[in-house]
Amino acid sequence: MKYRIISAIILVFTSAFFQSTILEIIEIFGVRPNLLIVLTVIISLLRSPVESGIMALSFGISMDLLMGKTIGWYGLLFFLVSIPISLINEKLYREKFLVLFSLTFVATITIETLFAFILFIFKDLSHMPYLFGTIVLPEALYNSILIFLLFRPIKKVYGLLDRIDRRRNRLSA
Amino acid sequence: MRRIFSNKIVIVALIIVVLLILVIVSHNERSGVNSVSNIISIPAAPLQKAFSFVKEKVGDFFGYFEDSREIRAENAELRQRISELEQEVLNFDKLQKENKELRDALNFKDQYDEYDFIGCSIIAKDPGNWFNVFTINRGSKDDIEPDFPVVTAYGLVGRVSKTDLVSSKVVSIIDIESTVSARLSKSRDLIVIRGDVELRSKGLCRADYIPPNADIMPGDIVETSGIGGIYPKGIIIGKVVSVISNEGQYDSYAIIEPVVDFKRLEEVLVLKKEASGSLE
Repeated sequence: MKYRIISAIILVFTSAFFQSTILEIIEIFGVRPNLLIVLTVIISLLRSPVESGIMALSFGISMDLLMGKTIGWYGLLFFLVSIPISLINEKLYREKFLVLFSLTFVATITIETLFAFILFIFKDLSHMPYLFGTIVLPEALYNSILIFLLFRPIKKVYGLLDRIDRRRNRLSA
Repeated sequence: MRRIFSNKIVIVALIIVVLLILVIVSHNERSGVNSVSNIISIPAAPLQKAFSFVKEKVGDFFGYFEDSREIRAENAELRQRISELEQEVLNFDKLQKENKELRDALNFKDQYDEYDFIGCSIIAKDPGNWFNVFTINRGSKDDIEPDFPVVTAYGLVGRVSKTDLVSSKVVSIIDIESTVSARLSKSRDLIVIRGDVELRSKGLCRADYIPPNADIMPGDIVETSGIGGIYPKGIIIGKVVSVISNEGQYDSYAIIEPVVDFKRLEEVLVLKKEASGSLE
């Protein structure tokens, strides 16, 4: 359990650091992928609803804190997207191209469209189609590609943590 | 009570309610809740500093090879310019002396005398794709506070929106949530500079509330008006690129090109108002 908490904290901090710095280098047409959404989808696919929910909340709140604006919107959206994925994850062929691609695509579209809606609801919603075409859609495509690079390494790390847990449980028993 | 909390739907609903309360409370930039961002910013700041340093050095290294051809041509041009400037320096010295004498005679107080300039480096940019916010390497321990103006040698960058212990967030003038009261340098007409959803990706912003009879044309310089209490008067914002005239009284707007290149911005200055006691 201790290893699991430490590794979760390291994952959240590292991804927050990468999101605010290194991902700037791989921006295409001014749009950068959202590593935190990708990790939320991966963890929701691999873990239980409770663990996924906690991790999604942590990733979302980190995103809010890094942006320096209102805290909580991304936390809420990440959480709400993570729960349904984690509830059905055992019924999915998790490593199939189509599952990974479509889930990341839909998750990004949902989170970013709702965020844009929240952002402009009291200003001017006429910008929504423009924002969807120039930010939400490219980011969704970008994230859907990024998940193929990250899914297996993250799965391996969780597999390793599970093995450590099992060994420790066996020893204590 | 125990049975209520064992219900998963209740727990999810509770989390949603807590998050919504957090949204409401943290909406105010000066809210104490925002200090939780120290959890991320304190450990991230040294890493972000290290990354921005490495990025700069790598950029310099590759830039060296790219620039060598350009440098040769520029060198010849600069030699010519040096001889012209040497002549201008002689005139400048004379004008400077005259200026000082006149200022002394009028007891003129420089508008920036009451400000301390705090040099800062940009250590991280906005992590998402929605805002034009960046992180600087100084925070509340350096006496930086929200709403302090941020400038470069060329002109206005934006304002500090939130401060953590060792870093601060700066909202640039092209951000969609930024509004600056401004003035046209030539005609002295008051306008409002705002970030625009479509223009921000090009590094531009827009001028609204242009008076119907305002004398405004491409090339005009725009500066801060000093109204609103955040930005001191007279800081250059940018120049008018084009004016879009509409029939309504205040429906015309202009596209403004800021003097600051936000894509290449690395160092900024935060203007800190000196305490009234120290002015005496």
